[in-house]
Amino acid sequence: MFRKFYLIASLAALSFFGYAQKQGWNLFDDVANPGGRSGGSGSSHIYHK
Amino acid sequence: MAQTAVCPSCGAPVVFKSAASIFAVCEYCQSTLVRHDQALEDIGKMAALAEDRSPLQLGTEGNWQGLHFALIGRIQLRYSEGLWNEWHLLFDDQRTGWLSEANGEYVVSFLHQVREPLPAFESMAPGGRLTLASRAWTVTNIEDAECVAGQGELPFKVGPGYKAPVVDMRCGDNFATLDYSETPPLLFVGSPVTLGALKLANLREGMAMPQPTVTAQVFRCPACGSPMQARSKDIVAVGCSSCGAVVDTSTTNFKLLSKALGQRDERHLPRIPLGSKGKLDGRDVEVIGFMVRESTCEGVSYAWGEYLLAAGQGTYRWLTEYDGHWNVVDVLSNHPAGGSDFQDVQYEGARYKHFATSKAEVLQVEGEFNWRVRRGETSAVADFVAPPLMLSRDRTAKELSWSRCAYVEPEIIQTAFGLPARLPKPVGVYANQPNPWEDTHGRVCKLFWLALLLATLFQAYFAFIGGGQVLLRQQLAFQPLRDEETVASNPFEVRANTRKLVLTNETDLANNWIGLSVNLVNKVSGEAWPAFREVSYYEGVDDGESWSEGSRSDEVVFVGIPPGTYYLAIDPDFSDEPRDVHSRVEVTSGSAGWSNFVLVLLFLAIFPIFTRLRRGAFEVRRWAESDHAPVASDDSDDD
Repeated sequence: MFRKFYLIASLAALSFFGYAQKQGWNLFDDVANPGGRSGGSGSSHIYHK
Repeated sequence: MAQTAVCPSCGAPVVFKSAASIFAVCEYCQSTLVRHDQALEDIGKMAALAEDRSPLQLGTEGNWQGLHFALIGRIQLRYSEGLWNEWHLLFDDQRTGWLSEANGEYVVSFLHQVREPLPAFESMAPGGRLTLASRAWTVTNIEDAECVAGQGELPFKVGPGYKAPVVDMRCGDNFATLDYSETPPLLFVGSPVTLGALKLANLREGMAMPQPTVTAQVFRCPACGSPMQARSKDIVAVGCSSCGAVVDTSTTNFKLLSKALGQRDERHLPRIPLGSKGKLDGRDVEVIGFMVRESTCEGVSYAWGEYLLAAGQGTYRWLTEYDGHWNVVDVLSNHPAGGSDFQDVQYEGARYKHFATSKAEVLQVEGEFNWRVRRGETSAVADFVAPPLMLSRDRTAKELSWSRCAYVEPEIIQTAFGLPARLPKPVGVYANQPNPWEDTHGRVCKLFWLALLLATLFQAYFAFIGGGQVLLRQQLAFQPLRDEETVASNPFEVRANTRKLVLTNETDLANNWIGLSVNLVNKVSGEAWPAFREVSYYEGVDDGESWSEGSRSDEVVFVGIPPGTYYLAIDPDFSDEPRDVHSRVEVTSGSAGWSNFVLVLLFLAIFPIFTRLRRGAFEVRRWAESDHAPVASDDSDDD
């Protein structure tokens, strides 16, 4: 039971790890635009003249 | 070459198959015959052999190390714990040897000539060491045996009452006996065997699985008058189930070996009733005896039950039970090396750790036993564990024996004997109880290493293969007196699949600061991502000590930037002491950081750490009951 749980948990952790690395997430990054390209009200980009 | 003579008593032919045989018992009239050249001398009638459960008989044939042999003679001896047989073997190459048979154990041995003087019988003690025939032997048993009767051909003269003081010794797989019935003593060296390995033929009819009722003696307990029985001559002590008295059944006098239990004596009930039949490891067994033994350690008494099981071919096994923990026990023919008090032992390639040594006393005896067990009998018991196995050394004044215990779950015992009620659940941790976290920990560790490998491969890919290209590297100057406030960088391309952009500034600030309003601007759409940065760096010397504060460099990350052509538009904000600031600006497509790798490793490691702790906690509980328990701190120190 415990082994199965660990197997599932480690697979989930590795999947999430791979996704986070692909996205470039880093706990210690000083991110200027945490919202990325999100187009909603929290959008972190503007238009420059 | 066989020689035939005529029995002077009855005229029947007497065949000497071995040239070494000088003594024979006529199989028709039981006359004891001594061979003198061609003539036979009749020296009287041989006593009758005691009935036993041996599956062997004269004429039984077998094979030992590829050499065919036949049983041509037998000496039956009585010793303190019952009967044993010495079968005289004649091999096809005319060599002779002996097959010892005692309590279901078998040893093939041969006479061994030694030049060195042999020690006196009186100087021997169980556990003693001596070197003979280039081997270091451990004394395991000392007996003042006496001949019951002889049968067939023998190389020397025997008769009832013939004294045979013997000392048994073991050295790993080897077995030796010093026979002090002759002067000088004789040394026999051999090794234990199983009946199966001897490939025996012409066994005694009906004795492959002894029939317990064939030779049963029924009698009344001398203490309370309750009916009792001994199913065969192998049984030499019977404990009364009613009053607890122990009766010697080796003779028809039925003497008391131990008195009945007193009013104050605690009475333990066997969890498996006597007479229960079952199957252990595919072998039929029957519970014929139950005894309770107790050892006391630091004022605390530990009592456990032992069940004697009659198995096939005159063999015996044991079951032990303590606080719901069960062990199947087999007496070892091959003794382990080592085993001094507090020392570990090696046996069949495994290391058994010393667990505890204690003095055990027999408290209660019920049912039938193949040795003269008495209440109050004591022995020194040492246990050595390698879960799920345990080796137990039992030493009395006369004997040293080893047995191997295999831990079994109560459910297996219940099923094996078809017990109607559930056996109690085990309490606490037993010496050789398998650690339930051992296997889990091993598998979790394997999974951890596999996951670690995968995570490392991921990390290597993202850190060293994906990302890390320099998109812009430019020297910029921020000048307070410049008309145009905004400083623009050269354009650079951001490609698809760029996960993030890392902007680094390496300035030449000295005791000053600068604010930088950075905009990452898409050259085509004008879409911009702002970031405000403040860079400051101060340094100096106070009281001869140099100091610095802040940093000349700065790093900021942009994530989720779509592909396109970009440039940086930077508005500087100067301090009250405006000075030109030069900065080396660099934009790189960011590679994966290490923080996620560290985090995933920490997460993955939690599980093996947890199982290791649980495994360790189980071992702490196991060893807390041993002679090697950690010493508790003295509370009085706090006073």
